[in-house]
Amino acid sequence: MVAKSIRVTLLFLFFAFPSLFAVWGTGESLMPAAEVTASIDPYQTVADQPIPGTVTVTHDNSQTVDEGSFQMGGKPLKVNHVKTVNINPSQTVVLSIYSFQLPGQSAGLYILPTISVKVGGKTYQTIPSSYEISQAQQMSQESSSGVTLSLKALIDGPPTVYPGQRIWFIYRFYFSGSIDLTDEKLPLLEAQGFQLVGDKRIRNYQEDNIEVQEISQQVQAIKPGKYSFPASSAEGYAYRDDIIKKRVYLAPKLKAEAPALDVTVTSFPAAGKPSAFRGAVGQFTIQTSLLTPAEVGVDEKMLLAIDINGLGEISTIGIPDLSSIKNSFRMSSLPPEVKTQDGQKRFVVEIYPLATSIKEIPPIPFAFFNPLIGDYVTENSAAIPIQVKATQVPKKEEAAPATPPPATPLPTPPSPRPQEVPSIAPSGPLEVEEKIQKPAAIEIAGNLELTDADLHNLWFGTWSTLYIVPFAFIFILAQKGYKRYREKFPTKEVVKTSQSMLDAAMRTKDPSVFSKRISQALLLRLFELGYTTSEEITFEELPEAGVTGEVRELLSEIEAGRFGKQTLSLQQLKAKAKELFDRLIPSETTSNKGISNDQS
Amino acid sequence: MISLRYLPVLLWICLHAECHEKLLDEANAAYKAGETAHTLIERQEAFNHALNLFTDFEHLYNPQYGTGVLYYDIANTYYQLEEYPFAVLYYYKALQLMPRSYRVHNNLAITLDKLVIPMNKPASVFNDIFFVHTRFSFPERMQLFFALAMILIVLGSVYVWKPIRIIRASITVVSLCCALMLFSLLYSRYFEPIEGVIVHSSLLYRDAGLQYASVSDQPVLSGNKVKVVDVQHNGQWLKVVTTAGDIGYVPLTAIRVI
Repeated sequence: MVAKSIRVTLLFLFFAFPSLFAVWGTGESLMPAAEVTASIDPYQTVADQPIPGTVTVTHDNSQTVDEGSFQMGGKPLKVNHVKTVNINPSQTVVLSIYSFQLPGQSAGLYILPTISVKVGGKTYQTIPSSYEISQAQQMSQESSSGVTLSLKALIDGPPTVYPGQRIWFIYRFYFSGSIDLTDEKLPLLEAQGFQLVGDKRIRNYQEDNIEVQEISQQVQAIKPGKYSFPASSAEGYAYRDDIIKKRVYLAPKLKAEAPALDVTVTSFPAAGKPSAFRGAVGQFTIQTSLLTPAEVGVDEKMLLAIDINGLGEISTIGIPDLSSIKNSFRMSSLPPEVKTQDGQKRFVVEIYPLATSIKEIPPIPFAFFNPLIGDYVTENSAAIPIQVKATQVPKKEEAAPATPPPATPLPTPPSPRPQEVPSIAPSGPLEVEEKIQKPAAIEIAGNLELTDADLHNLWFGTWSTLYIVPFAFIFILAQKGYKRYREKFPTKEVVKTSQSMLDAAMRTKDPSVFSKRISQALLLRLFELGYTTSEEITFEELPEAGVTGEVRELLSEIEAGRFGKQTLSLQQLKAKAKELFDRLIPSETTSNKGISNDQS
Repeated sequence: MISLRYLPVLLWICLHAECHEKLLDEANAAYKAGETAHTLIERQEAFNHALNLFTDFEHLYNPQYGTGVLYYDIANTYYQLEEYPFAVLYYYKALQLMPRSYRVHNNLAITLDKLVIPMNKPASVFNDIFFVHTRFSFPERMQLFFALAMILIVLGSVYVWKPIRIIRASITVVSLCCALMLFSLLYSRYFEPIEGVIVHSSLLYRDAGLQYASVSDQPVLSGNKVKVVDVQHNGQWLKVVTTAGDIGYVPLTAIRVI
């Protein structure tokens, strides 16, 4: 029995808990529990310096974090909200990050006490953790004299920088001896307002017996404007290794500074800016070539390669202005294929000739800004001769044309893009226009008929369905409990007596119901008193003599009244029946059951 | 008898249902009109109209546990309008709800071919072993779980009153199926990677911001499926893993989560 209970309990846990957990996870109706963690930044734990820490609260978006309720070791803790991060856009769980600061401590290993906070009205707390304070600032009595540290900041690039151009931001540390830097402010490496290109480069070399570490970062100018970078600084302690290779830090603290720097990104001159200019900076040439045959049909695909070579910022080269070919060719809506290799950028464009009258792919202009001359230059590719043939296109009503209709060449200039043509020309080049506008065959399987059922979630197809699991367990366990109860307390059979049946008959107002009930009451009474041996007999089977005869007579009268004219009212019948019922006394032969059906 | 005060509500429901049916018919008809159009302009207008209606339905009902037909229809319409990356996105959404549909697989393959993107084929052994997990959509699996749970309730109830050995054996088998199905559902919920589709080609940045360098000179082209592993800057930047294994950040505007 106990084993069975354990089995049931285990089965319940196996199903119910994951289900509830899953339902909570969906955030559909149940609120997930919050979680709080705290940590100390291991890289900033220096002796006698304020110790920064972070508390991360994982909670549901609807739950609010009470910032005033933060406590550490039972004492209030002042925190600052850093940010709130939504982990997944489809979920409501968010991370709220708070920072706090502990007073400076001497070097050693410490325990971060429990931090508690109220989230959504409930209190959650962290698990105590350990952190170590290093002895970086623990000075020896030795002096750091003889150790030098200086910093230089510089910008390597042209005197005038235009958007898209790349320059280098460089820092050089000059030092002698061993130095452990404790703080650096190097705003050039963050390059606010510029786009970083690649990773930082670090180079170490010697200059006049002084160690030099050079950190450089390539950046790309984005927008015109003046960008100011504040003074840079670095500070740290000189150190020497003792006999057990342990660092001994030397006072005083060394500090080096580099002055603030300004970089001005000049905007491109407005005067003389060609319409084909897309922001390319450098000195380039443009060439075009066909990757597909030069002989094609109307609206057949051609692949045009546009190659741009030269010196300059390849990344600033965008797709050239193709408006010169858009009048004669339909352009694919797909983005062009782009390849960059060895200072060359190639664009491969899909184009579709619109008419047989087109004889060439016209020159494509490419405009760029040459920073050396400080002006715009426009280069043009050479025209490419092509031959466009008429394509056989069935007319609207023709399922399969026997012979293709003769193509009529369009007068130059060719028609605009088919998508932009609002209506078909009424005569002349009508057939060709129709061919151009005729849409291609459908390439994919068609839609499925959308019905109302497709707009709703499937029945029992959502996470709410998992509520069936606890319901199932409760239902089964309730049955088991009920069965056990029934076994313990079996129900008593309700025995109907003639008196209770008489009472029921007296209460009714319906003559037919009264007739039935009074008949049952009297016959049962006769059986109880020993006048008959069975309660199942009918009144016609009763003897005609004595009280049984009176009962027979009354019931016959009531029965006759149901199908004919009733001489007595219902009340009179009730009174008569009651009087007769009361007159029935135990039979003299009750003990030996003398009267039976047979005697009648 | 229904009181007269409920008449406006009933009237509204009837009118709403009628209007709703009309819109459904209109959307289906618009797509058909696009397919049978004789000119490009007619075709574009019809497909645009169909797309507007389909996307309205999507925003209104959001049937993410539905049959998937709406997503399939939206994908087809995007395809017809040559918006292939969005078509890919919706085919993947449809595939999640219609994993056995040949139509969806076929149309997705055609679209990926248009974008010159190879189609990833999952391991067949995994598919064969965990066929319930891979060949049934999430809502279908949930329905199966519900059906099994109901059978379990009936069998359990019978066993409570008539403890017959064969019923006990049946309960064991059905419980096992139920547990497997629950495991499959929880795996989908908690362990399957979140995936997205690049809808606008974007460079892969080394950190969440345009000021950071790109992982490579080549952008991640639209239509590519990527795994989303992290969210930064209140969801404005997503850390993704491409099919080539590159890890980087893309702005939210360039990607849609499936």
